[in-house]
Amino acid sequence: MAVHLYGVLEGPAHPAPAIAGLDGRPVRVLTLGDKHAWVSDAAASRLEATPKRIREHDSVLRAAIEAGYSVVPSLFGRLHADDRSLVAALEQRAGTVDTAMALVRGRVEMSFLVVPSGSQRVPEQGGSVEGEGAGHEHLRRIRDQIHAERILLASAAELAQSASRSLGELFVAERVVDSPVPPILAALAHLVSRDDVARYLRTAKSQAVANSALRIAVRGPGAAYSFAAVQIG
Amino acid sequence: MADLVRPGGDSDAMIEDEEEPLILSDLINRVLDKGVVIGGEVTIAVAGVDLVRVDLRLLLVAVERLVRGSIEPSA
Repeated sequence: MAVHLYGVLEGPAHPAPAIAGLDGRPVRVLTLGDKHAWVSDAAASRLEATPKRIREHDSVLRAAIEAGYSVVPSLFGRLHADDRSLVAALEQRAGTVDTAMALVRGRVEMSFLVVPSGSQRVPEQGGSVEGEGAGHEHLRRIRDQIHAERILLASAAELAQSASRSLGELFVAERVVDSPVPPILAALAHLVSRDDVARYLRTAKSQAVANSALRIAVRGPGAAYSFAAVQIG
Repeated sequence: MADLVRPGGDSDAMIEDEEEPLILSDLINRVLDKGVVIGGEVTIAVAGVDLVRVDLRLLLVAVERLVRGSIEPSA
């Protein structure tokens, strides 16, 4: 039976958490010296990545964050043959894991997102021109829509840059997400001290949004996938 | 054996529960290992209008993983 790794955790020794992980399977704890690896079994040696499983993976790590652990998350996407091979792989990379843990100790990741507000439709520019056929009109609408979306993306990027400056003293590291998946128009990942999360949220909420077609969303606190994720295999 | 508890609800401070597509998009941006294929489709909506259904594999696929079609154990 294969093993799925959620992440490597540091914190007070706890009994195995009574929480469900991937596909409802129990989360188990493997001891790695003064750290723990949270894992669960996978029914088969092949595991499809589905939205549900990705959320389950993330939920387990968010539970760990809420319980006060420092978390070096594992990215979703790799299974390990068994506990022994996983522990061996982690021990082989102990130095890297230690470095990652030093980065995330007492810190969490916040996502600053700029998304469409839903309050304004993409404008349809220009009306039909006399003598033009339906095909021309259709193409012009597509052109106008692309133009409007470009303006929206530029505005979203500008808003993210402005927020980055405002939040600058509250994060220790920043990653600008390249080509975020829609409907997100611009995304920043910030590594934030737990002590600064409340101030971060207040500051993020107070960002002025000049373009009514945009709004801000913030996710977190969560595991620091963008800064210190384990990738083994 | 005690009942397993589903890990805590979302503590997202500025995202409502119904914003599932937004949460999923954020997770895809950050959580997936490079090259992982995700199954399913999402509907991308802008300004409240559904624009297009996107096969997520088109966004995330890497050729090697596409051939395999799923994740395999590493060792």
